[in-house]
Amino acid sequence: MPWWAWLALYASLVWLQTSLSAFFGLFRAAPDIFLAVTITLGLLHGPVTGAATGLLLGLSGDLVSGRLIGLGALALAIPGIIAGLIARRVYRENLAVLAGLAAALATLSSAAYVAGASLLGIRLGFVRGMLVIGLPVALYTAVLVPVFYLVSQRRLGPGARGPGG
Amino acid sequence: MTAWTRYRHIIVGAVAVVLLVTVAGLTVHYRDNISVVERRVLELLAPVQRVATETGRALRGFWNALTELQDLRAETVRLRAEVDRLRALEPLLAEAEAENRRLRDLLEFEPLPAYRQVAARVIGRSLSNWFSTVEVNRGTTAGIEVDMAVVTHLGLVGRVVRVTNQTATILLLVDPQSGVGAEIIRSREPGAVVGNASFEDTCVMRMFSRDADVQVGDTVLTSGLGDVFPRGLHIGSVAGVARAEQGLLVLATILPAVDFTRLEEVFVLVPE
Repeated sequence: MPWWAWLALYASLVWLQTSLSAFFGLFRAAPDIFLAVTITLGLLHGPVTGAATGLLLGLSGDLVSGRLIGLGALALAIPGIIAGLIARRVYRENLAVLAGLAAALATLSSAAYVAGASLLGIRLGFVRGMLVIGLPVALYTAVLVPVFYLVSQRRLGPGARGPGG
Repeated sequence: MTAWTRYRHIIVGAVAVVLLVTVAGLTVHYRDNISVVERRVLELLAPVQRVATETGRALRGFWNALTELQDLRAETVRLRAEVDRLRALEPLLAEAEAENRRLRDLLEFEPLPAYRQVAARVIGRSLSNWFSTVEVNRGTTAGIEVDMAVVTHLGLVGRVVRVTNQTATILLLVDPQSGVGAEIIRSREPGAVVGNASFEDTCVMRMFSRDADVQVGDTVLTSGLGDVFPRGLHIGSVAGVARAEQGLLVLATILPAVDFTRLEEVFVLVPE
């Protein structure tokens, strides 16, 4: 894809993320589109793409929020890498498997963020944070990743079967 | 195969982790001056966020209109009665205002610094679920600076923590890193209202005295301590009182006057 198409895709993701956060609110968390896209691309294209997507999307989110710049990038890159590494070992054509995997990776991402913030001196309350933010985000991601995965596969064709096919 | 070829992913990953953690450690708190990269990202994303927020608002408005049509008639009747009641109070208010002015003159009371209210529209929320900030469509060109107080007609919203030419980031009262000097209006009991780290839309007021006179339902205002928030801004009301650390610390749960989930317009208080 040309650079402007990537830019348009990124603007669409920001647009979607901002609109959804104004419209949705399960407990007090909005769906994390960046996380869902990172996991999907990790599943489709492997750990390097997953890591790069997570780093770029996470870093741009961090720059907008202005605090703990880099931590959000790490918290997205980790599930991106793991999605890419285990993509070959799971039966991705089963939507329930995809949803379960997405929920587990989203939980890992939330846990990494809260733990990182606590290590750097911002106490966010681990258990309550995971319950109020981590759980809803995991549920949203479990729905979004299978949808994104199916759409991407159809759009990219049979070649986009991910690392190792 | 060289060691670099074999382990390059691990080496690059480790360097990236160290770099990111270092930068995160250096940006734990908001800084007075933001970097050029942050400024550019904020300014580039502002139009996208503005359009996205308006889209979300339009969708929510349409949905609300559909669901609330039935309640509108009863609401109109209630509001008309409320308007009549408030109109009846107008002469009393004018009299009280005149009396207040006379008494101030008698006491030679020095009024608080005047503030100009700069209206701003919320164009986006933090892209992270973990913190409570909003972006507004006014920045340095409208005279907004870091550490200015932000309010709505209902009460205190928070303070400005970052500004670009056209946008400003507001740290909401409920954010874990927020802190405001406050007092209970009934008992004049002082304390500090801080954000709630348990991700609820409430705050916690840490009372300075362990025998603090605070009750459920008390109204909480800003105390004016510190340079950011003027005295007398409505923060909210006490929803619960608890004692912590063997009764040495009195903590009051504060229900903010402002509904942060539905923020659309705010006013930044610019000192004149």
